Amino acid sequence: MRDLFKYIIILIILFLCQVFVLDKININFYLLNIIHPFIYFYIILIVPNIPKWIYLISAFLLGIFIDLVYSTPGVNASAMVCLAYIRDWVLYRVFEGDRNEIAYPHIAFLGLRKFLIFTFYCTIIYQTISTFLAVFSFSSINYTLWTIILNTIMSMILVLIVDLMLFYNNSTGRQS
Amino acid sequence: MDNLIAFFIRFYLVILFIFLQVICIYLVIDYNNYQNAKAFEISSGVQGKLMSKFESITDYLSLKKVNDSLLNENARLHSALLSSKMIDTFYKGQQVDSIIKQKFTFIGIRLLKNTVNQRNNYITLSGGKKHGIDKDMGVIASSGIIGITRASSDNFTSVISVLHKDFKISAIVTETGNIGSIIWNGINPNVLTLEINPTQSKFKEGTLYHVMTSAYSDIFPENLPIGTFTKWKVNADNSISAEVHSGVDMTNLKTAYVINNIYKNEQKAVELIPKPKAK
Repeated sequence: MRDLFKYIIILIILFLCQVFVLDKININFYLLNIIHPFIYFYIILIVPNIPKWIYLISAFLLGIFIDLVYSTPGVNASAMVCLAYIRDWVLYRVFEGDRNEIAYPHIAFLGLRKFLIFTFYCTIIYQTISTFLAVFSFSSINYTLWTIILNTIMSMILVLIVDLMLFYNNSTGRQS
Repeated sequence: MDNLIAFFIRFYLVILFIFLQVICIYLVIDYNNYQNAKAFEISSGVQGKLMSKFESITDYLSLKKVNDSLLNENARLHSALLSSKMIDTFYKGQQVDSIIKQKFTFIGIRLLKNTVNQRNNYITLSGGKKHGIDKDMGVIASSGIIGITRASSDNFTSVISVLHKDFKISAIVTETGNIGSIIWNGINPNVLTLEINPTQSKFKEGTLYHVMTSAYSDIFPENLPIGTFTKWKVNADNSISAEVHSGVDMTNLKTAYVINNIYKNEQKAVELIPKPKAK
């Protein structure tokens, strides 16, 4: 129960950061002006083992809520559901150990290298699906691909920062 | 039967996943229908309340810019006052007070939310049905068009930005008189694309061409500035795509004007009368 509250509070903070800070930033990179870093999907990455169907449905509902805010029906929901479905599989591949040992996919638990690989796969899946669904065409594909790559890099940096802030205790290296 | 149940128990996650994905894809493809517009009326209300709190804090930071834009706006309105009137020269013998009637009215409004960094951008305005704003009205800033309203609740309105894949309006090149349509290719928020219909007229290198709204639209008045272009390319079918540099800085909008065409419903009604069947 305490955990549930913790994750809900993290979600609210992430969401407020997304809407009031990240959405106000305009980054110019060459011609591309549609860089849009995401952070709210981080909550899907770090949720511990809960029944899979609750996990999928809550990812779907969260995605729908975000879609209502951005007026992009279905786009984020679809990406969220895909991410939720595929996360455990990616995590097991990256962890390479006993599955039952995985409790929290945080940097303090996985180590920097494995955590980066894990977030990279998850982020690029999320970005690819949401970007292609939003654009919904294959014309000017190179711009779309650039958008995906740059957004992935930006989002990964953010995920790393947030994870270090929330779950890494500097003096001992333990989970807080 | 047992096999079927066993199948469901074994693959229930896959089935759930596919089911949710089908819902999502349906929403993506079908997002312009009426129910969706209704759902987003509610969501624009929620967004609006959140954003109006935030805007009340950050408003003071840009007062100077707002003043400048208002000054420009007033100058433009003074010089173009007649262009928003409809000239009624149809005289049928009875006494007519005036030959000029109001056709477009302008409603000044503040922006609550505006994104430019997505493929499909939306704007939220701090006014709705109470202030006379409804769907399918034009929205302009002081120096150019910025969108068309999509749905409105009592106090808030959601606008399809110029920077949206479904935004398309008719435009005219003032120097040559070519008609085309304005779209956005999703790359740079300050550059729009003007697609001119196949034409024989030649454009001269090194000339600055001005793009304005054409008279064919029932949403925008004639001769509103959209932007300028110097570069274009000729496609295989003789149509022309031009890079129009928008007059509006979409990243920095604070106020806007919603345009209400008083005669729109009348015009629509006439246009929608079905053609008589051939005998």
